Amino acid sequence: MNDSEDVQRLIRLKRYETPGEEYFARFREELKDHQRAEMLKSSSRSLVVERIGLWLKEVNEPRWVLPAGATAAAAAVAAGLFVVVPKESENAPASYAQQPGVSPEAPRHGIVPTQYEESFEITLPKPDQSGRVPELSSGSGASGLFPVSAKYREL
Amino acid sequence: MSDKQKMRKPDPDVDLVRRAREGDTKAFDELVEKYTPKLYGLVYHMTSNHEDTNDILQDVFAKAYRALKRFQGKSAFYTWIYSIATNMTLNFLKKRNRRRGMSLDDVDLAIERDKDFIEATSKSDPVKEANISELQERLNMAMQELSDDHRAVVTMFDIQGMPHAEIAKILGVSEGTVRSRLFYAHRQLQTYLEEFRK
Repeated sequence: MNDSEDVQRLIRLKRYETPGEEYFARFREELKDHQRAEMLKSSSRSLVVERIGLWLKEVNEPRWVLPAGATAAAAAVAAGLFVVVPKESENAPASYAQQPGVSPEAPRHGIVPTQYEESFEITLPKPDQSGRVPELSSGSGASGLFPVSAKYREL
Repeated sequence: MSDKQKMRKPDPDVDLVRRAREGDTKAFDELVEKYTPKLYGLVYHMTSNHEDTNDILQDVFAKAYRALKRFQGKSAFYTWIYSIATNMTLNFLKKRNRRRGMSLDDVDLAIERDKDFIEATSKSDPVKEANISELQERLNMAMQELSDDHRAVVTMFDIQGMPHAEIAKILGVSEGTVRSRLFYAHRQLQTYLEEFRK
C-alpha cells in the first residue's frame, strides 16, 4: 500500500462523521417551517404590490388628473417664490445701515432707491462784466461749494 | 439517439423533479429526504462545523426550491443540487476566511463519540484505539490546512467516493484539474498524518 492510499484510507474514516436520523428529521421540519414563512412573506409582499397597483390605477383616472396637476403646479410656484425672494435685511452689514440718509432696510448692492437720495441745490452767481464773480449771498448756504481758485483771487 | 445521450445515465430523479416543478410539495420533500445526508456530508467536511452546515443546507434547499422552475434537466438533479451546495459552501468559506482565521474551537469534536467511527477505527488497528480523539483532531486539522478548493475535491473523492468526471461537472473544471488538485492535496495531507499511516 503506497503513501497516497494510506492517506486516503485515513481520510475515508471521516465518512462516519454523520449525525443520526433524528437530526435529519428535525432538519426537514425546520426546512418546512422556513418554506412556509417564506411563502407567507412573499404572499404579503405580493398583496402590498397589488394594492399599490390598484391605488396607482385609481390615481391615474382622468377625474384625478386636473386637481392633482393644479395642486402640483401651485406647490411648484410656492416653492419657487420661497426660493427666489431673498431676505436682504438679515444679510445687510451694520455699517451700511448706519450711513446718513440710508435706511437700515436699504439693499446692500450699492444701488440706492430714490427715496434715500440726498439732493442739494447749487446756485452759482454769474461773473460780472469785468470777469469777477460777485460774493455769494450769506443765505445761499452753499459757500463750501464755491470754486477754490476763484475765492483765492478774491483774497 | 446520439452517442452522448446513450452514454448519459437516465436521471433517477426525473419523475420527482417533474412533479416538484408542477408544485407537488411531497415530491420536493422526497428529494430533500434523499439528498440531505449526502449534502450534509459534503458541506460538513468542507466547513467542519455542524451549525454552519445546518444553516448552509437550509439555504441550499430553499434556493433549489426557488430555482427548480429554471432547472432544465441538462444535467442530473444530483449534479445540479451538488453544484448549488458546493458553490454556496465555497462562498461561505470565503466570507468566513475574510472574517477571521479558522480556529480549532470551530472544529467539531463529536466524531470521537460516533459509534460507527469508533468501530471502524478499532477494527482497522486496535493499537490506535486509544488515539481516536487525537486521530480525529489531526484529521480535522489536516483538512483545514487544505485550501477550500482542494478540500472540496478531497471531500467529494475520498470521503464521498464520487468519480472524477462527476466532481469535474459539479465544480465546472476539467477532470485534469480535479486529478491535479487531488494529487497536491494528498501530498499535503501525508505530512500531517504521517504517524497514523503505519
